[in-house]
Amino acid sequence: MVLVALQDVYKDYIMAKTRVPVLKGIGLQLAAGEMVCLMGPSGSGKTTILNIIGGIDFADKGRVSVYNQDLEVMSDKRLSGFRNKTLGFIFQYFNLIPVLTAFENIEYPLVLQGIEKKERRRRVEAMLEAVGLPAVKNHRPDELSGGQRQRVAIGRALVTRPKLVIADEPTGNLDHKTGRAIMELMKEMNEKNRTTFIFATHDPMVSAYTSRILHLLDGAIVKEEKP
Amino acid sequence: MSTLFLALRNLFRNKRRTMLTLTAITTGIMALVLFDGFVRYTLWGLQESTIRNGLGHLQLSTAEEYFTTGNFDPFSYLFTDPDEITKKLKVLPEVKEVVPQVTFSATLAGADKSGIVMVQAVPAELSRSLLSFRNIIDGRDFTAADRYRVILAKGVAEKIGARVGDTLTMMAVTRNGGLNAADMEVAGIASLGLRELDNIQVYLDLPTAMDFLDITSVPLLITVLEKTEYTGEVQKTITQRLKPKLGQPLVVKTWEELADYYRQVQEFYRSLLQIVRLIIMLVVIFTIVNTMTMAVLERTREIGTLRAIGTQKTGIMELFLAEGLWIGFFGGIFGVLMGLAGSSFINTALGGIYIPPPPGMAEGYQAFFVPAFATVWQNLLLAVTISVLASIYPALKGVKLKIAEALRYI
Ligand SMILES: Nc1ncnc2c1ncn2[C@@H]1O[C@H](COP(=O)(O)OP(=O)(O)OP(=O)(O)O)[C@@H](O)[C@H]1O
Ligand SMILES: [Mg+2]
Repeated sequence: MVLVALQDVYKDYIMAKTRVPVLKGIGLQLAAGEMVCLMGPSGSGKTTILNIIGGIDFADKGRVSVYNQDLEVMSDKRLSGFRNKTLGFIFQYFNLIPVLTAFENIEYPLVLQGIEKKERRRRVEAMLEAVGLPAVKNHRPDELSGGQRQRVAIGRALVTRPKLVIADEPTGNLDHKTGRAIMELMKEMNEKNRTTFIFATHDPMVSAYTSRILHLLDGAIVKEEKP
Repeated sequence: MSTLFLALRNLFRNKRRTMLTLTAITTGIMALVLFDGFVRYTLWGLQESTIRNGLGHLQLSTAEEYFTTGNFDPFSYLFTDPDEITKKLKVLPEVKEVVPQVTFSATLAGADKSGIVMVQAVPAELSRSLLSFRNIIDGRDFTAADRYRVILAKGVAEKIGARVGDTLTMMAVTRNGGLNAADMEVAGIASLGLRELDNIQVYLDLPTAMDFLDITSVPLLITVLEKTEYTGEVQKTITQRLKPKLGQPLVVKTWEELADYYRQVQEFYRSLLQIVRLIIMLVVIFTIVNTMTMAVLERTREIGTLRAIGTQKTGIMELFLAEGLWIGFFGGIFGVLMGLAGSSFINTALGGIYIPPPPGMAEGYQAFFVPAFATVWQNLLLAVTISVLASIYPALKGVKLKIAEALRYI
């Protein structure tokens, strides 16, 4: 089943009054349960592709369908709801809410869904267990190590049981060993729940965990390989 | 974990900045509470001295025109039966006293100087309840037996060079149009507090005045109430219940309608309060817009994150408005508390603050600060309202952020 389909997607940015083409005819498909990785040099357009799939940026030209939805025509309310329920985001800098504890950070997307407190508690506790953090659930992000923070972020992305998780350089700020543990965790989630993952990375260790690698160069997919 | 809760946490994030904003609101609201307390006390003092200096709470006459030209022609407005009205008024529990009065202009001549004065004549035994703010500074007050004696306001005494015990000649037009003159002995000299009155007022007992003017009735009944708050209520009772059953014409005026000076001062203080309020509001708004815009900028990536994981634009709006609400709430509470504490400090520890004579007043006074309960609430509400309103602009900045760009912001 095709979860994400990009067809002939173009995107330009205006930089210092000149039009810079960033995506030049991207086509890709993701099937449910896949773990796919975008690789390429800095500026090749990895983040832009992830943003377009995630409904937080839009293509200039081409067709984008995510879970059979045309994100571009949705109202802010529907699109926000879609991101909240169907997608999960993981970032290079973890992007946790600093004033919330680990527990509350993971709980936040469930609050947005209007899930009642008892059910939230149950699911957050289970997720803390799954990412191995029950001991620090009442700690705020600044009291956690990088690896712990990324575990919280993974918990926050997965607690809603999304169809697709978008992870932009999830190991970019972690040492090799911690990065590997994070990848193990995501692989486990992928296998257990058949959650689809798409990564952007420079890190060959990350790509080693995926089933398909799309090589990007100057806004075009130049090579596809299966490790 | 609601928006309010998250907003509250965010408040403690940049403590220095929050303190700055809080200080602005707290100081502003405190100033407003204090100023309001001062104005209220001052107006209250002016109100009571106006009422107790002979105006009374309600004045009753036979025609509207009496209140504009009656002092020069009291004869056209005499009640047919003043006692009937007095009796009916005295039945009301709010009414303390009903004082018949005649006021007329006269010339008062001393040994070598004379002047135009306004003579206010009431029964001597009732003068104390009507003129309770009148302060006899020399000589004595009337007794019930006094006839053909006057009490002079101190400005009048100075003007015609009269002292206690002197005999003065009073001249005035009587009912039939003729001129009457009579000798009057100065019983006392009084200070009235209002310069306007101090320069013109002379007091006489009513029987003497009626004899002197050749009248058997009065054109004015002054009603003194137990409390000033009853004024409106009693006015209503008189016009709605008493007046229709009366066989004679009746017009009722409240002290407020008659006290032009009081109304001017009140208007003046009200405008002043508005201006002060406006300035304080602008300062507070400016501070909040500034600090919160900084907060939005600092939290750009966080806003991007919140949006990415599903927070709607309205959610971002609510978050910053809620932060404004909390800031306004705390700033308002602290401001009100400090305003109240400041008032009670001034009133008790300092025993009030001396204020030199305001324009039109004869003497300075000791001002106390008595903020009204209602305005305390209003100020709290004001703090919250402007704080939320001031948050709209920074909140909109947060709402308008493009998610992808916000996430790239380091
Ligand atoms: N909002 C923007 N305005 C202008 N240019 C932009 C904007 N966003 C991205 N770009 C440019 O688009 C190009 C592609 O950026 P993108 O972030 O997709 O690359 P990337 O492959 O993720 O790079 P990296 O590995 O450094 O994260 C870059 O040259 C970048 O400078
Ligand atoms: Mg990138």
